[in-house]
Amino acid sequence: MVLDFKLFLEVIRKRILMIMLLPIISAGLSILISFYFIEPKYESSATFYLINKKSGYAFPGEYGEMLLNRQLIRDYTKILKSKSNMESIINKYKLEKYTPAELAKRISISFTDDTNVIEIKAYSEFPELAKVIADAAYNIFVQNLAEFTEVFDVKLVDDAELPEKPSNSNVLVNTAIAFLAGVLISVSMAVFLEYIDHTIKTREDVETYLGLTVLGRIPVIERE
Amino acid sequence: MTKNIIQVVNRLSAQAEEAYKVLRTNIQFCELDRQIKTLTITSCLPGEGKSTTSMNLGVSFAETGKKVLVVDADLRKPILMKHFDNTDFKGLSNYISGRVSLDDIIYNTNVNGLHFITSGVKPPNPAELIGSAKFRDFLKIVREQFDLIIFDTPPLGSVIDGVIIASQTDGTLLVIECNVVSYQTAQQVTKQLKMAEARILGVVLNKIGSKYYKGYNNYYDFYENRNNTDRELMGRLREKRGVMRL
Repeated sequence: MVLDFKLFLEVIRKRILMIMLLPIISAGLSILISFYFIEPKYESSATFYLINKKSGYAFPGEYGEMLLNRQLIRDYTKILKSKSNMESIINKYKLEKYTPAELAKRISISFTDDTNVIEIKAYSEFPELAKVIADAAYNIFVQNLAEFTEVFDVKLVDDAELPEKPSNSNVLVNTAIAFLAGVLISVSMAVFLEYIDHTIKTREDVETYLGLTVLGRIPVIERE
Repeated sequence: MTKNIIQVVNRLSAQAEEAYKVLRTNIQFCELDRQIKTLTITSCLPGEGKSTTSMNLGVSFAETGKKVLVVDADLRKPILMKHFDNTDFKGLSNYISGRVSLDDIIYNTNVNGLHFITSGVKPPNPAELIGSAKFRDFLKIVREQFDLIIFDTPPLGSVIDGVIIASQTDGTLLVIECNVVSYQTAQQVTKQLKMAEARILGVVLNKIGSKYYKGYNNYYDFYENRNNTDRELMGRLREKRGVMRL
């Protein structure tokens, strides 16, 4: 089937109701979900730098040593998320509503943008709590570091701050995406339905498929 | 000829009436090489509009002054009756099984020149009746009495009756409802008709959506729209002169 532009418009027009409704419905659903079902997620992060006490540099030049240091950081990350650490945070800040595993999920630690700056992020549905957890995690990390090794000094770059806006629910963007997705899906659905529709509709169909001529075209007869 | 008069219940929009006129004229064009006195109207599936087409075409031909007979040959499931007010008549099956005379089953209608035969009592063996010698005789007799005989037949997708009748008539029209029949089904039916050596005049595309009808007409059927009146005129001229060369 050659789908030239006029035919394409015809296909769209035939299912215009579906094509108009689907994006509106999906945008509406997206708004509904953003407001009522997705709990807002606040994010707070502390960034810091580790300095090698012996050399005085952060991750001194030698490649092997740098790798080693990175490996060490990974170890401490694992240790940071250990059950005993989580429990101690829960006890200290009275966060009984989280289990240690849940709390661990709310904390992430990583190098930012391929630099050696390390970032501890914490998520929570309350902005205050996000900051509290981020601070607590940072403190525990520093504490762990001192307990396990003497190699690093910690230099704080940015303190954890109280987040102002939720990090996940940008209603406008979500709605726009949902709307566009609706348009895309409905249009492709219309084209697909047309493609799998093998019924005879036009004079051309009769001529191509049956090799017969159309002698008459009768409109739908409306009855009064 | 008969005492009973059937009231044809028929309300068509001007647009639909025009469409049937075009169909009528196009059928007349098919007569160039061979006269069409008997016409089979059939379709692939039930409910595509055979009966409506038969009736309205019958009316349309009657309007040109022809003596037209519409026969409801769907002995299994007569639908044509819905066009008439009265419903309790003896019909084709009664005649073929030999119980009544031809005059008893041909009814006049309120449309001048339009006559009608109902399917009659539902027989246990419709295909046999249709294939019988008596039916062929019936064809011969009505051929002499009328200018045009239109047979409304059962859908070809389900039973063979339509093919039997189509093979004995001068022309066959295949009614196809838009957006309903897959081209595979239509191809099969066309093949079936051709194998029975029926002369397929062409297709009647039926129940074209009103928006679609206009919209498509303007763009795709430019020719048809443009020449409706011309063709109509030529059809009339042809009727008067009897011969027409293209």
